[in-house]
Amino acid sequence: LPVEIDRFEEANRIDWRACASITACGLRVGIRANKPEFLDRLLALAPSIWKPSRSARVERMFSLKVGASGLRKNGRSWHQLYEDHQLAASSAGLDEVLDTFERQLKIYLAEMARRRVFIHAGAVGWRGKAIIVPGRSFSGKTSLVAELVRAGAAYYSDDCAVLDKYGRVHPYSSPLAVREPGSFKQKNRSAKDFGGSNGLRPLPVGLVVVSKYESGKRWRPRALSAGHAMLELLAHAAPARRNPEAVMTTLEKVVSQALVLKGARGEAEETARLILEG
Amino acid sequence: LREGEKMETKNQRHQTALARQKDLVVQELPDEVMVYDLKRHKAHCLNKTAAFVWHRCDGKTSVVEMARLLGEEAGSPIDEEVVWYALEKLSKAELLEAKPELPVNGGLSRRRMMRRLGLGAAVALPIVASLVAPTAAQAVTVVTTSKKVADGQCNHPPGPSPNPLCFNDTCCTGSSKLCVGNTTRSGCTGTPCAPLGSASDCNA
Repeated sequence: LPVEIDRFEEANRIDWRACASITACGLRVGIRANKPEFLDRLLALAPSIWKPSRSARVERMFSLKVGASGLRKNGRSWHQLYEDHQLAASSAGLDEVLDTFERQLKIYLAEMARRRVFIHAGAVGWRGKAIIVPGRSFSGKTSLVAELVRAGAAYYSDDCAVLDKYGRVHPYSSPLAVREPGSFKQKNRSAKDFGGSNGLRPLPVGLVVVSKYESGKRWRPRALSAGHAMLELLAHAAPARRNPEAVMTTLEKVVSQALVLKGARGEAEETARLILEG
Repeated sequence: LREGEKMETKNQRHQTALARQKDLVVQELPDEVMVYDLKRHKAHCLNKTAAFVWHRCDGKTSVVEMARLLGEEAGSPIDEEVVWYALEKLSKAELLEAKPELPVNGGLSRRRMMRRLGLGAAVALPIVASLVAPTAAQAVTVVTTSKKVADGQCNHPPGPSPNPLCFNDTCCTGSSKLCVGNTTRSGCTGTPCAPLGSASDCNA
């Protein structure tokens, strides 16, 4: 059942000074803070697809209590994040608490989104079709997406391919978090940095690239059957456990219209060129 | 039992199997069947041969009958061992109500089955490919903003004006830890920044 904004017990004892209601993927989320200046900061951490909502009823509430500074002997304040009634994070480090908010909100939207299936994948648009690159972290999908954008594809996402019930990919643009070679460090880059632009309209999937970077390899993929393609995509589907029926119906739409290729790849630049040349 | 010998007894040949129905989501594809096990959160892909056998696990059709029907479908006789092999795979995936009594202890080998089918076989080796479905947290990567901050790409987390969003901004390094937007350089008191949006901000 939807959670009323003011139904919390422990969290209700806190004097919330700022509150916002937003919608994203058909979900209403409440965000509030005990210090008004932190509300914008929380909103800035929400995925870019959110819109403001006037509804006072939300399905999930995130509440940030920023501790007062200078009250403790060591001079550090204590910050807390509540997700509905649950204490989700409690730390002297505000960044840590904000990280938890960012992570939990993203996971909540990815898992619970209405009429959308979130796949952990990069996505670009090319000649009226979407190319999606599912994969775990460190599989090299962001660098491949960046090179595809550099080669002229429209940027949709480097992180989540958001599918509707027709199997079309919707834009979910956040900055490309590009890792530096040989490092875990990431830098935010925009599609413009690669001479590209953001995709704006939903596209049917034309190609799925299941690939992992291996030094020295050349992209010589094999086509997957529809069933194996579905397994590959399902392995990266956020709502797979919560709503497998909807996920499988959506993925069936994708694999019935798209070519699914699997294989190790070498450098992203060459692979992007080979992919776009078909 | 040596290779090439007939393995099963008469009772085994007339053994039947019953496919699980409960707590499964089934999606038919042109040549395969996808099955999601709601209890175990496992997804299975049955190839055409495995799906053919699974669909005939009705508790009535015997192994010998399944082999005959499979042969009819393929247009050439099919050895019963192919059906046993499929049943073994389906049982391991927990897609049968009860474990079938296999004719060989320890199961049937893939190599033996390949020999049985031979090159250019009329049917494919029964295959059940499986995976454990991820949790939402496993499926989603979140590179959090403070991680980006720590990596030096954005020295100030998103916050209220004058830095409402650090994303795509250029950032100055240095002790000031100041994030400077693409359009202004006035706040840049640190050393030249790591360029993010455009190359030259903060270098002035």
